[in-house]
Amino acid sequence: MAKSAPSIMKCENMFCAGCGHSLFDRLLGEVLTEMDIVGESISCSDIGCNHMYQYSMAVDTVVPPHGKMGAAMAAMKKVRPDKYIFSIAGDGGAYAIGLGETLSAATRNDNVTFFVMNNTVYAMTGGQMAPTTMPGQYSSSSIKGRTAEEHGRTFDVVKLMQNLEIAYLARCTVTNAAEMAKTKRCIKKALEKQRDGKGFSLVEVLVPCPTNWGLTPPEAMRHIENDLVPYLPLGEYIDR
Amino acid sequence: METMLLKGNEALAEGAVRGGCRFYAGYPITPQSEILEYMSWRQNEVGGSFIQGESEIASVNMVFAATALGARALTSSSGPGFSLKQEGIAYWVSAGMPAVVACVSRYGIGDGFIGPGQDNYWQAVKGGGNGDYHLLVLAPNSVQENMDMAYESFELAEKYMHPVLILSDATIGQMLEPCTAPPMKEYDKDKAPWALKGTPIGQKNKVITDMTYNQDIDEWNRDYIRKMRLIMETEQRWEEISVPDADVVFVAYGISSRIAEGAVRLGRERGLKLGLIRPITLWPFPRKAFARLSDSVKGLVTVELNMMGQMREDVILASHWRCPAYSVTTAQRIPEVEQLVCFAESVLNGSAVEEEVF
Repeated sequence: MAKSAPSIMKCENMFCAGCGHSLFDRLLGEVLTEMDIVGESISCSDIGCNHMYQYSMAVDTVVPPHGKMGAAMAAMKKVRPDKYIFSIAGDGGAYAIGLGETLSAATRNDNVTFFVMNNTVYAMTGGQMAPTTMPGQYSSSSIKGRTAEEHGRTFDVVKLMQNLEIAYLARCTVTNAAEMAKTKRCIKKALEKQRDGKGFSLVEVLVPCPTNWGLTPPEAMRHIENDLVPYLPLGEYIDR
Repeated sequence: METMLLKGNEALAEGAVRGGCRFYAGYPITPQSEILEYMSWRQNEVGGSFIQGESEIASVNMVFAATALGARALTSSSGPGFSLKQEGIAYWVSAGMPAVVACVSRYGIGDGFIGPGQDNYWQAVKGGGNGDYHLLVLAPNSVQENMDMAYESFELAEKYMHPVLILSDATIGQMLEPCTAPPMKEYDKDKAPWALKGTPIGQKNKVITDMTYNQDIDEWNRDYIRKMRLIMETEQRWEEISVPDADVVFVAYGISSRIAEGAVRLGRERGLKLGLIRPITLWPFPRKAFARLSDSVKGLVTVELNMMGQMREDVILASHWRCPAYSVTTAQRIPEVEQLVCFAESVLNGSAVEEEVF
């Protein structure tokens, strides 16, 4: 991470203390600035905590209904094929209500980029269970802990997409400086795939939500390392 | 000007293209699929884009995003497909996007049938999604009007930065009529003042979103309600046939208005003074047409392809109960001219009954 915030970040972010979205936004802002493509970028916001990037990041933005980024970005790329089209999405938007649109964009291999912030809950509405909620995890709509028997299995985007003919699929996190550096490289690579016309790219970022997890920010980071990463391994899964 | 023989759906698509439409997204549903099929090749010819969306929901949001980036964009549907689009259309309204949707109405609740209907009048003119809004609703009654209304729809939407709905129906969409095609309009998406094109560092970026986030909500409300009142005042359109001396005035739009026009002619041949008010805009409803009605009118009769006489409510509001308001409701059947003349006779001889269905 650079020493000072890139000029695309116009003010302090609005996220809770210890939230991972702000770390991701900062890294994305650095990549856009370093690649010098801010003026060539149009973002597509999800609705949820993630959408608050639009207050602190000076980039043109369309906000369609919750989860419909896959459809909206398909249209954006058709209308302005020379622009970088990407979404900062939440796991609820991209994988639950918008799964159809996300998967359709992937199966078409649309030349757009998804950055999905996975914090394993619906954060903005108060921490309800999401498809990504981990086995045993407590949430405000799984108060005795999620079980496969009662609530179904946990969603894993890598298992879903690893056989699709898409350009890039990676999972990373923001728990320490080394992981943030890797995340930054994944962000850049995804945008380069789009620049080169290779097609659909998706980077899932495991981000902490201390507020809804009931943990301190350091505990939330350790929770990702100890409980999420073993179940959802980090790495680049598709790179073509 | 060139004369073409087209199906109503094709005329609507061609009219939109000539009006500057360079993006179309839709999903197949009878009786509107010809619009989608026509756009699939026609957009290529004119350098536009076509996406067959994975659903109506995807398609309506594709049109939202395409419009946000400056394109003149259209989607179309019918029946349950049009219902699926309502959430997306509400976002168009909220974000002030001048996108256009065509509904080729079919009859029935839920899945319904594939034949013509006018039973989604309430859905079309009273909002349809959540929140305080009406769409600007145009009601064509011929293949020519399908073309002309699609042609002008984008400029109308951009005039108010408010979406336009073209409420056609299965009969008009499927029938063949000759029509005259207007010249191709020039439109540059880069000159659209709202269009997102990417903003370099140091300049103020643009966000196209739901109303509540980037502006003072009271200020937004004030501007919005001013706009809606201006549309109500400025855009009422209707056609009158033999109204000034009429004793009974039909009120009908779309395919029903073609039958009602025939009934006026047949009634006049038999010495009955019949007239027709044909709303061309369903919202704003042409209240001005009713303010001018003579006091000698003995009855207003809506003719509708539904069961509940949905438009009758608007006729009562517009006429302030100055005379009885009746409905001839024919559900999934197109009315017969003779049936309408007989009903007018029953109004004149006092045997017709005003029926409430709710």
